[in-house]
Amino acid sequence: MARGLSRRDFLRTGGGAFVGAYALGLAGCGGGEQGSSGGDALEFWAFDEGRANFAKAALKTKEWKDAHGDMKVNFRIFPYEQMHDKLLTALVSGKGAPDVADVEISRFSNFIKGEELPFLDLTDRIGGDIDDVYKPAATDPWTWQGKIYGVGNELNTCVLAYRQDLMDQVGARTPFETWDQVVEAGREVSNNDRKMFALHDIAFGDHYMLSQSSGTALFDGGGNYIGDNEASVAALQFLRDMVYESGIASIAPVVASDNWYPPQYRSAFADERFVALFGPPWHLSFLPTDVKEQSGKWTVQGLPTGLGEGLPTANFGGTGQCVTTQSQNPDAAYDLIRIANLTSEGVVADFEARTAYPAYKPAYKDPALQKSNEYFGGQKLGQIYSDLAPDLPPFNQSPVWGQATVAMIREVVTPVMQDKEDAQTALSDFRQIVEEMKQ
Amino acid sequence: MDTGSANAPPPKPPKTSRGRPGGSNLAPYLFLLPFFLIYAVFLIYPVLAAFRLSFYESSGFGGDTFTGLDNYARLVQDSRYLEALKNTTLYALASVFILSPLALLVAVAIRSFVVPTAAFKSFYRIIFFLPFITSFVVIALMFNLIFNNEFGLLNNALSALGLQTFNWLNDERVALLAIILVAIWTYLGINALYFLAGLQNIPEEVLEAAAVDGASRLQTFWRVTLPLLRPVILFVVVQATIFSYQIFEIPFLLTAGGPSDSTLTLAIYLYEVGFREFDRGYAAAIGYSMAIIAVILAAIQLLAARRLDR
Repeated sequence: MARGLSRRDFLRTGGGAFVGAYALGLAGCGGGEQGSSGGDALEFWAFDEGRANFAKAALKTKEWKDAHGDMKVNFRIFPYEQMHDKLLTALVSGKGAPDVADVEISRFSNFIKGEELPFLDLTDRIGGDIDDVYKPAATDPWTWQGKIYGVGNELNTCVLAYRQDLMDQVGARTPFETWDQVVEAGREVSNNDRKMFALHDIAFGDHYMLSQSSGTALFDGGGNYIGDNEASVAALQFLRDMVYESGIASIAPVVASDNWYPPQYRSAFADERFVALFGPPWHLSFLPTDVKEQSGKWTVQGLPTGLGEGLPTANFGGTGQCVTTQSQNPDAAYDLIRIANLTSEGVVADFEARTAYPAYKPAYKDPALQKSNEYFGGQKLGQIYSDLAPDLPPFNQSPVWGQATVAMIREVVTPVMQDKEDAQTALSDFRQIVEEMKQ
Repeated sequence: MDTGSANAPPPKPPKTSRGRPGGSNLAPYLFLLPFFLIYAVFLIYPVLAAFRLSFYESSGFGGDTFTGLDNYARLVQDSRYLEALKNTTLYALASVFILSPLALLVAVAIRSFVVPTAAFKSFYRIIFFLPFITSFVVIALMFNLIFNNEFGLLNNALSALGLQTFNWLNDERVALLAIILVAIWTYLGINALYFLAGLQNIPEEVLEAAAVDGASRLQTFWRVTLPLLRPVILFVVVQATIFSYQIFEIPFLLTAGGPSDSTLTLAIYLYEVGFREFDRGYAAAIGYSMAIIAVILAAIQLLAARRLDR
């Protein structure tokens, strides 16, 4: 009789196959087909075509070509979430990470959890160049325990922007010196169909900016939560009152997939349903592209006083470039970052491509950054942003910063801005949540 | 006496092309091996690795620490986990008690005199099935417009009827309902197809016998069709429950679990813990809790169905 495979044989074969597969799995997890490209090439991960082009522009400079000739740089662009998730996974597994990666400000905190950091300390490499950058925008967000792990190029100085023609119509005196004057003008300009501001109930940015202008932050320099202090509470209360007391603001028409300025938000400005905003340059950038017909009618100024310390600006957003510890060629990787971020040639190329105002100070001598802007009534925005930049408050990083800002939307911003809960109570209760995160 | 046959050697087994007689027949197993290898690498290994991970404190970069059942104990004290469990359970209940009966209704309607010709039946089958094969991203884009607070189709319709409008995706009171509506739209067709397949397997003679005995259409449906559909109903309910506890894409794309966790599901929470909070050990424990819940609920449903069969 033909003997088939016995149960014991099958188990033995199957067991062997499983062990082989397990080993294959381990090898697969550590496999490095993607990722650091070895000593003669670089791998760069980005989550945005424009930012990848910014890095690509550095490869065309004479400085790069002289130093690295025709070294191949392989760019991979993934969607935002996917890129950061893949980067985390590759860095935890120990293999497969790129040489250089873009790390968005709110995602950096994940990489500083634990005792080992997966990025190279760039402090010594940056050296004296640190004096040439506005630190709160260029390096603070990627700095942990005194060491710099990434460099960003965007100067995200927050400003107040408004429709000058409408303010003139209602007789408002501009530029605004205090927030009280803004509210007064808002009362004049607002009606059932039009409001001064669109404030966010599913994003933390509005409170984040105003609390910085008030002289406070979410965390202090030691990483301790300070978001429930008097200035922070007053900033949140002020936002709430603009919607529910003075009635000069409505809740911004946004969606979860873009909780800041989706198409419906932009079209609301085009329809003149909102006529002012406060935010960083990247926020204002939708006006010239999506609200072209209002060219020449907008004015930009520093943030008014009247809230806490009344700093004329705040910092909001940014993406840095980091060298991973898996890089086989850290010198070339850092050179790419340096040429892109810490040379006028690199950052001016990015300004011309994306209108990204640089955090690199010497670049502001370049004529391109001193041009007057027709859309904003002929103002020299480069001059305004660089004048405000020295007043940027420092950015205090924390391993739970990203987590805390997400939780802040859930526990503080939505309850206060949507459900009219008390600002003081929400921010005080939030302390317990942040403390639990840190455990 | 013919002794020839008694002394003759036993006949040899026929030779086959598969190998020599009596040898082990490995060929089928070799053909199956690639599947099992891939299955082991991409499914069994991660499942076992995640099980191990669920007993460790594994957050951030650095070593893992064995913590026993701490991650599982943490689940019952975690208010966000409990909120996600509540939302997911509400969604699962809607799948079982709203989606499944609606799917049955659609299937019965397509099969019945309501849809008269075969061409129309095919047309409706395709129409109802289309949402199931539509990309979740497209579905999210579409429903973002339909649910839009200001110019959305739904609010316009409600306004026209003089009813209250809502900010469907950003209002804590109605966001989960909006997600359930999208899920019903998406999965109605596939569930209706399951029921249609079940209805087509019911012998015509049985229905004719009921008609001959004087049963009305409603009596036939309750007394004949529904009992004979029980295996299909069980299948639909079990798979609806299991898949409900895994729902991720629709709420993630439409509301990201918000506002204020009102649409947070277990799968979204798992993702947040794993990738946003980077707490891999706890995320693994959440994953296993989802599996355990799904298995327990499916077992309860199977047992209940068996009891009904007796």
